[in-house]
Amino acid sequence: MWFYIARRINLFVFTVAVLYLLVFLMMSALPGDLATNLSGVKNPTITQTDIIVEQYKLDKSWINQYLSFINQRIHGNFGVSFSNGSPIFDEMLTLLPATIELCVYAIFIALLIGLPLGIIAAVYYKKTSDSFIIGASLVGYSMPVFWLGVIAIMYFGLDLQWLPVAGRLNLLYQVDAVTGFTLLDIYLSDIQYKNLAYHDALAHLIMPTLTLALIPATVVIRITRTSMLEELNANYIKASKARGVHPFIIIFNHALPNAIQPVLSQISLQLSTLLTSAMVTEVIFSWPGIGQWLIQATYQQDYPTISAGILICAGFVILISVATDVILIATTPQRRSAVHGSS
Amino acid sequence: MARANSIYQEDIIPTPLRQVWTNFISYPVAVIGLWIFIGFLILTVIAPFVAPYSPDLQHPEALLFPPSWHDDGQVRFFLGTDDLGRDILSNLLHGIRTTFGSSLIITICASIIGVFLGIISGMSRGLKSSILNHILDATLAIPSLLLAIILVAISGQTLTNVMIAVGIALVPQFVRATHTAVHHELSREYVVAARLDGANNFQMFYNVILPNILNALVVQFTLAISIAIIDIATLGFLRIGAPASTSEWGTMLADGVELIFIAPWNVAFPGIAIFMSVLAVNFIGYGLQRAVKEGLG
Amino acid sequence: MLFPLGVTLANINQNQRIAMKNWLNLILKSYFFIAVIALAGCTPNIDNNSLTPGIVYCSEGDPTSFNPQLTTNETTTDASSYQLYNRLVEYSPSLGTIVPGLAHRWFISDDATRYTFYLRKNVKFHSNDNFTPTRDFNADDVIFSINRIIDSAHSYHNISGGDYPFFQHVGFTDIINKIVKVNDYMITIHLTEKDASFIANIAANFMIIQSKEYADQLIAQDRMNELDNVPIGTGPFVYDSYFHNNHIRYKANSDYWDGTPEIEQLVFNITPKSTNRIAKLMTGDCDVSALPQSSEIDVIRKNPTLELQIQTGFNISYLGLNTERVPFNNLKVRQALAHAINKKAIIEAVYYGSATIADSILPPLSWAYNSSLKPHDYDINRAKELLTQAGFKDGFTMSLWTSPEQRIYNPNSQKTAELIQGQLSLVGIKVEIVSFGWNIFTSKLKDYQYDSVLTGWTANNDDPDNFFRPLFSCAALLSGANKVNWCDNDFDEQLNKAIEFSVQRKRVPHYLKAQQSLNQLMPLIPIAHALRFQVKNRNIGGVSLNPYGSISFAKAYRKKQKNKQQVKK
Repeated sequence: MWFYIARRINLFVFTVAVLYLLVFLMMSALPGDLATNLSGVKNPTITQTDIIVEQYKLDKSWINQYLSFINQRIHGNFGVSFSNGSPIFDEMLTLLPATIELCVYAIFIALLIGLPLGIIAAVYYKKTSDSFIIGASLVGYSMPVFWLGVIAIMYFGLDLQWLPVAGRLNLLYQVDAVTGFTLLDIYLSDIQYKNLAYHDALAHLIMPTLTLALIPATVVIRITRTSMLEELNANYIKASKARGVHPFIIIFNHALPNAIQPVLSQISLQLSTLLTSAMVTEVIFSWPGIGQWLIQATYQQDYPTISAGILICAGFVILISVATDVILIATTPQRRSAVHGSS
Repeated sequence: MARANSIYQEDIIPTPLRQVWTNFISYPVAVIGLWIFIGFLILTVIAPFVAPYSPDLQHPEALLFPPSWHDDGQVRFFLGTDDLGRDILSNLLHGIRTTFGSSLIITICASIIGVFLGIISGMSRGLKSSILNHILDATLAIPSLLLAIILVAISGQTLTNVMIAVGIALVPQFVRATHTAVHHELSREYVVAARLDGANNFQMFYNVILPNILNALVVQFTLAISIAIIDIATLGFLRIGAPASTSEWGTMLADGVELIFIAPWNVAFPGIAIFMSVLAVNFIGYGLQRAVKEGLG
Repeated sequence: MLFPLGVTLANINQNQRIAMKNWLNLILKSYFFIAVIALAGCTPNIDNNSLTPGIVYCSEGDPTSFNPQLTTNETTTDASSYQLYNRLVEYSPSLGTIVPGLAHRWFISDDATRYTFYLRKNVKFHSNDNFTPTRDFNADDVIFSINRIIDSAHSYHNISGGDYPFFQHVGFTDIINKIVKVNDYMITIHLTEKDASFIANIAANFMIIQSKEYADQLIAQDRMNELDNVPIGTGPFVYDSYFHNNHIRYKANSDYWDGTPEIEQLVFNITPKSTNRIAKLMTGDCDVSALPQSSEIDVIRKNPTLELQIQTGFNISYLGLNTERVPFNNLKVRQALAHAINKKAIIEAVYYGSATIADSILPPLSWAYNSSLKPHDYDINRAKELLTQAGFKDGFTMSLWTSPEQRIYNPNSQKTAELIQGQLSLVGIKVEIVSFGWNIFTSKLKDYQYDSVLTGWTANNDDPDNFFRPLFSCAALLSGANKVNWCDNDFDEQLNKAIEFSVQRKRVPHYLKAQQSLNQLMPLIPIAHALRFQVKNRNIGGVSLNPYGSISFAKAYRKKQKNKQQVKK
């Protein structure tokens, strides 16, 4: 097993190196001075220029530049932002939890909705409820996130005035960002009206999470359905059926635990799509996360920030997919050979 | 499928593609999707001729007219007007070209490039394959929208550049799909058999592998169209895609959001247009996927 | 042959599956359990936070710093001028005159070149984690704050960019001869020549007073950049925290010399999109919102919980033509454009009627307004005729630069640009709209690489000079604020003559002439004077709107709603 895990980690390092290379090439292709784009320091003084050249080895060959670029980034030096001159890394640290929070809850809800529906569709294969669920999931999957978000704001926020439409928490609650996760932070803080704050935070969460969860949920439905179908047609299920095991037990105790693995590994593959939707969702609901920050940076042509955003998003995707792989390998031995065979 | 006029009972085994097609048209959903798709396709060609007005034509006397079935609406502006008095229907019709038509074109281009690269990487082995694989993994990890954003940042925000950027962002997915399919087929026994028969690389690919991966590629192609439409519209919505005042559905929707309190139809119609086109493509994709699966067994 | 193999595989798998089944089951069960709990907790409910005594203001963007001296950007002055700082003298929107600020009394010499200020005692500066003031506000702080601007050798002059746009426009460096500290609470400013607009400039949003003691401490700590980003002032609110692109938090200054504010905290919720601001206002995330879109005015009026505040604005939105570039170096082309633009249509479509058509750069309310100007009416045929005379019968292509950000003078520049694009296409002129975010926009404008630019100006005080000098004088050309790339000596002379007098009556003729020459030479096409709007929740009071930009929360309060509190408890 350790061999396979080592293999994955090796692959992780290599993929990240390639990612850095791609980003580094993009940075060189962007308009403007490479030193400025890398460091984010606009109109640097002579001493600053010297430091930047020294840090990024700009007087050396491009391989040296590339390696020192990795070196700087790995040590948390992402340069400073064009628009406000503050260190990008610090900004990312404050923003990342918001995005993670949103994505995690969305995945959670996607599973919550998707798993049962997928199971139902598989159990009633080719029946009305199956066609209905599949049809609904196709419709949901075709829904542009931004349109859905806008309609949700219009209806639930402004017409019915049920839910707040923007931000993470009413700003009058002064909750210090310790972990960056609102609910945890409220728990850790010593504000006076904690219950109200919890309520407020949850109310702020509902619409963005549901909007973001829609597409992953439809994906989960379809994958769950497919893999459940496979499992339900497997011989061991037929054997159980023949033994007269209760269908409920067959589905939940036998088929589901096996069917759920492909779902998990597919979700990790969907992560990059999820991040794209998350960016849009953040913009629509003014959610102070990485996505909104990145879009703002694009408006400001803030190249260091954009590149940092790409590194962090893509790095995150790679990390999660490798982590899922490792976990699945660790728990299911039969995957090891499969992984070995296909790559 | 027995021939009625032949003397002997003989089975004609349909070609895989024909089999898929027969399966495909047996799903009502897929057929509906196909019809909508064809409808859009026709409109893409004839849009400028059927649109009542030029998309940029401003009617200063007709600002924010509601759709014609509303009490205050007028039939000459069938779907109403926007805040500059531009006819929404005309804009939507022209938008078919920018959003739907160009996503078709860029998907075709991306598929040609992607499939070509995918075949090369799929047929290669050892170190070369491994390196290509890692490059792919890295590019695939960058969300396609983000990739498009940075490409637009590099090349400048014009409609063509946006299209090219979205196209380039699609390529890795094609490469990956082709690569996987080719790799999968290469390990099959009939491929080994062909190799033993002395087929060279080209013959191997053209006669042996291509017919068998075609299905997977077609499915990937429909998927890519829907991604392209959504990506173009999303970029437009975020105002980093098609330049302002282009008839592009996402941009129109973004403009409409500012009027959502007084003229919600400015949000509704472009949204419906995007949704319908994506839905049609997804219906077709779903039908194909199922047809392929059932066609194989 | 394959069958037995399959069975064996199935058996192996079966064993592993049983092992796995338990933990997956556990996870599944606990997951459903948590989900149910979580959903139960999420009942839709909005509370108005009437328990936390504070006000949330939805502002339209990020401030560039917390020092208004460095910018003419209204977002920055909103976030700093009246919240964090005070000026020597203040402009009172309700009285329309200059009232005491940090100087409780002032005295102008007969020849209007010596201004003496008597400073207020017992005024405390804010303190923060890094800085605790050891002394009260005194003359040194005033001298520091002015010297920083006018003395290019000052150690703080080049910190934060070294640009002081407002003061460059009004020629502070040239006009101030010296500042004399008479004693700790009295200073005299000597001017090089008469300047009737000087006291108005001292009261401008930008002329704030910072702490010299803080600045000195930062030099010692080598953290000079913090002076403008971690601000210390004397104003009603103390800077607490700033989360870029999200919010700014202020706490009430309990030692404020003009009475502690009623609200305990003030939060600027940075919301660039107007639709979002109104949405936040409706759902209770904001109490006061800046700059609603004109299209939303009706919706706001219909909403019983919201209240619209209207303030006639001293502003102008205009299309500036780069007079140094072909074809706009040709007067006929400029006039043709003036005839081809339908201002009435713009006011209806963009401002929804909440603005007046501008014929002059000065609003009609100004005492120097020239009502006898010959307006350039909308007349396509006349425009075509002029174009033909100028040799552009078939039209031409021009670039039109703008920034999509909302400003008081123009709620939607992008839309205005598109309208102009449509209108000019009728006379054969093809317009290419180029738009940038505000910061890039202002920095790129300095290179004059555009044909025309859609922008505007909000006056900082009621002095007409404030409309002309910063925008169209030759001096402004040097500082890059003269966006029409235009320098006319006669025009400049009129401006200079006008400020030699302190009596309005004598200044008027010069301003009339200045407007006349702008109208004749057309370096710009004035479009509209906009009303300034602000929306607030009805239970908020005391928020004052200044016609010259900037908002003050010093006297803001939240009306008590007793029954609601009891329900909440």
